[in-house]
Amino acid sequence: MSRLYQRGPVTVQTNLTPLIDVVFLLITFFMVVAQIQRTRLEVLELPRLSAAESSKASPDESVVINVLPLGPDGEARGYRFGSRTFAETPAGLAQLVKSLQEEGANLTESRVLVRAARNEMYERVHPLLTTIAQAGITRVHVVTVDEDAP
Amino acid sequence: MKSIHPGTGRRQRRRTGASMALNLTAMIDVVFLLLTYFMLTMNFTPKERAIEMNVAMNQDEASTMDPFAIPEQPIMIIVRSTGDGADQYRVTTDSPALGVLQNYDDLVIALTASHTAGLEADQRFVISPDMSTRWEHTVAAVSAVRRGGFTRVRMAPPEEMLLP
Repeated sequence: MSRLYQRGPVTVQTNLTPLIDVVFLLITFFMVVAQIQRTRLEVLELPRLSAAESSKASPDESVVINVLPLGPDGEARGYRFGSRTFAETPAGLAQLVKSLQEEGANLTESRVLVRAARNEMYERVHPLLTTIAQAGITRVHVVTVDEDAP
Repeated sequence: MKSIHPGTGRRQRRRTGASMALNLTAMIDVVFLLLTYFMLTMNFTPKERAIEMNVAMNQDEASTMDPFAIPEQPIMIIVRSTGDGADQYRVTTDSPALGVLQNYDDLVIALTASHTAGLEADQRFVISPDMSTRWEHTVAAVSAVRRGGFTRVRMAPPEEMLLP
């Protein structure tokens, strides 16, 4: 009999350390991705409307511009396009036009989504629509929530 | 390998070979931690919808227009907020064909009926809010025009901005 069999039964154990390592890497990855997604989509109370004559708003295929809600002291916080924020001043809007024009190639392939809270005044949204038109964009999609959604 | 027990006569299994033990406790711990984490952090946001709208001030339309065609007059839909509620608004129009409107449902009905009354499908509409009109009331007007079967709709600047 060989020496191998003289040692007795062999205990096989699974090493879980690499599995836990991978799991924690996955957690980190999803947390970072969620953070990036949150930057593009500001948390807003969107207008509730009938889903008729509207299409699904998919941020992955679109360029998203958010109208940031007013700050706690009523100060304007500007517009967010991607991860950049633009002031509601002529200079800020001019920068936004420039950024939109730089995105030109992408804009022809994707939709421009405008997200604003339901209680936002039109005086804050109109300058953004004018700016988008100045950048050479003729159509936008305004984002709403289905009124039947929970 | 099986052999016959001398006392009982039953077959018995001989204990030989390796015993394979898989310790799953740590993995289950991690899985439950993950479940708890995602359940706590998950935010059930309702699915977002998008309504298409024009923003250009008709430069593209003017360039393609037939020079001998009679200029088409857009129908103005005037929207004013009267309170903070979703149904606290006033909607009027400069088109006698659409009649007196109480709310956006009336507008949808009037627009749907106007197809048979002679309004062309490519009729242009301009939503005219003022500076203090709430966004939800403005967007609802766009949605109503589209639900009424018309797609050429854009927003006008607030009247206050047009004043010198």
